[in-house]
Amino acid sequence: MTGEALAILTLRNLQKYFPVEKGLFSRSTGWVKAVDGVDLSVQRGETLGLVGESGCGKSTLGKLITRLEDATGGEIEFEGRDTLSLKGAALRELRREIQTIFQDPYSSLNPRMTAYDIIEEPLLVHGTASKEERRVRVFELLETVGIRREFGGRYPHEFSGGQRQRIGIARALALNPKLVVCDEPVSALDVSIQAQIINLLENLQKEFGLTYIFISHDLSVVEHISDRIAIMYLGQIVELAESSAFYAQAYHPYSEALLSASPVPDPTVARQRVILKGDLPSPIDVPAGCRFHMRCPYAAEICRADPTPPLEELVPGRWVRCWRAGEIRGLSEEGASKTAPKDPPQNKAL
Amino acid sequence: MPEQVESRESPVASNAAPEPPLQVEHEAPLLDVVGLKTHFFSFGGVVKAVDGVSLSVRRGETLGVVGESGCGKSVTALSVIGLVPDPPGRIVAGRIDFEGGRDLVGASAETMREIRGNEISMIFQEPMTSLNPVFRVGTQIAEAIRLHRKVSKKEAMDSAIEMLGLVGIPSPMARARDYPHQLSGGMRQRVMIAMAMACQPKLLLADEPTTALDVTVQAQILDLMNRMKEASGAAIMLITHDMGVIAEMCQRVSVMYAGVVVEHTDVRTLFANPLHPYTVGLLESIPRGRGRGGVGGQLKTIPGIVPNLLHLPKGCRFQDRCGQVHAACRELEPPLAASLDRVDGGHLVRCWLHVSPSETPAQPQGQS
Repeated sequence: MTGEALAILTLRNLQKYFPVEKGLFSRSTGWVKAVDGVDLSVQRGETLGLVGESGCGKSTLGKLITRLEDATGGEIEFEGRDTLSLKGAALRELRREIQTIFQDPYSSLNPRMTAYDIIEEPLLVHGTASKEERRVRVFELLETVGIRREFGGRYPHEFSGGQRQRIGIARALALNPKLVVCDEPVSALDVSIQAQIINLLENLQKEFGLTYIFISHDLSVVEHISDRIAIMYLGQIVELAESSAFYAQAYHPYSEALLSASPVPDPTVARQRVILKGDLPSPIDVPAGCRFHMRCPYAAEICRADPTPPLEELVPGRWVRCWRAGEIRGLSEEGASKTAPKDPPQNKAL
Repeated sequence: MPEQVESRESPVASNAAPEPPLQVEHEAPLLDVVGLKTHFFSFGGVVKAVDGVSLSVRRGETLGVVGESGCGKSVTALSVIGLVPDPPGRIVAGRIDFEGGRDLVGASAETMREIRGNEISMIFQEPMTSLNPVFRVGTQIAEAIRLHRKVSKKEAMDSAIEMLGLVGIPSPMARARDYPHQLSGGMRQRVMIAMAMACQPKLLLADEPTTALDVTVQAQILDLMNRMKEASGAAIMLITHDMGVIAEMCQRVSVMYAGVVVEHTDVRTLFANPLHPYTVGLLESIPRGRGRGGVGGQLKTIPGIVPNLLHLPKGCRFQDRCGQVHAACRELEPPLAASLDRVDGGHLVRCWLHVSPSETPAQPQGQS
């Protein structure tokens, strides 16, 4: 249970509020609580899947980790450093170690730069490498991601979507990062291309010992690639579990609905779908009590009243933010340990 | 399999023959598309977006049309409903028979206006861009009703509100006065469905209706579409790239690749016994978790990318990405014909591995 000792990244009560501004003088009339008290730790070498619907704060969380956004409160610890207080050269060093792969390979590559220039740019910004060293490195990276080096002189529009995403990956890898935040890296791609990119990401992880935070709304993709999975709802993590245990049985009612709603490519499977009522509430006025209570089929009196339930370790390695999860899933204290995942290295505390 | 192929020397005659209707049945299908070719005349050349598509939709069923971006699935739907932008696009060949006899390809603009939104209607992927932002949603639905029914404005608005209630929008009276931007994505798609179903169409074309939606909302919309279909008896042609949606919604499926249908069968057969190497590759490249019937490790992929529709290769369109390619594939494009592996002819495939070159293209009995 020495989770934090092995952790490469630890988030403690992380918050990001965006002001809602109205009128001519931008009076602040409220806050969008995009990330509202996230505790999480990521182990070295693992892939943590971060799943949720649009507006749940998963991309904002990714931006906080890479310091593309500044947090409102809380702490981020990356390899023993408090990243939120870093400035200047130390911040640049952090950005070398944490890189991002973006969703849309069309808008994340500068259309006026060639593939070669795009991949060379991080080396120019951060490095002291000579021109010749940079050339060798760029060609090496192109090869690593499976693009022929002759294509280095081409512009983004001359590549297909999958090839562009490969260029984005090469750029992210240019500085030998330790942690890569993959923000929906395959959502814009066709299925057959998506599989190529997922395989590439997995191979690169093995080869370079990368740690991934894999943000996605696609549960099948996340299931394939992740060791652990965190489900977000309205700025909070509602369930955190080992991937295989999660897909066998989701504990939080929201995770359960999410899992049952995701279509399975098998017509012989007759499934009992949990169809949620209503939409995601606006993060401007989050409901009191449990944030999910208005859509939850199990909601009871306790769920409607403050405070929000805490994220508790229901069985070892499995954290759920729900007052009633233990009761719904029929877990007594003793029964709990039986259903717990057995694999010790995965049983990381938060 | 290969020895059969080598014996097929000159399948020229059969390939040149026009493709027959996919359906020879007691009851004619609701929609029968035969050899449809919709080409776009661009500066770079002729883009053969739809290049000989044949498919049929029966009354009351959901036909899935699945394929990757650029395979021509949306253009097929736009051709059916007469919304191909002209210029640059034009239907250059083929028939679209609606209700056993009316050919929509030659139909006048006036006839198409009568059919569109009335007998055939369509819902699109992005509900924000397909609703008019400056009119209230109730007004927009009422407009569709007034175009096709002789009713007063008041009556039309009443039925619009009723439709909004039917598609599960809470307090429909108040929501009818909302503008599209005031509604969430899921609500907008419900409005689109209300508008499409307002005149009780016989056929609903749904082009990626849930792709822009979150997964829990997608489940709501798919459920709604099924309920509306059952209540009205309409048939649905559901276009999607998501095999999961196909598995849950459709009875029969047509798989498209680079402007043609490469495989057609019922949904269970498609998933249990796909024949075309493209379909096989597509199904294998879907990530499935270890816990849900999948295996860990590397995903299978289809190498390469779709061919440029400006410069299609000679022969089979899938040859460059196919693991089982042989000489015949590079010579001549196979027809979409009944597979040799199935006696009842219910499984159509466009691949030399599975169709006989001597046989004239299929006279299949579609089966469910």
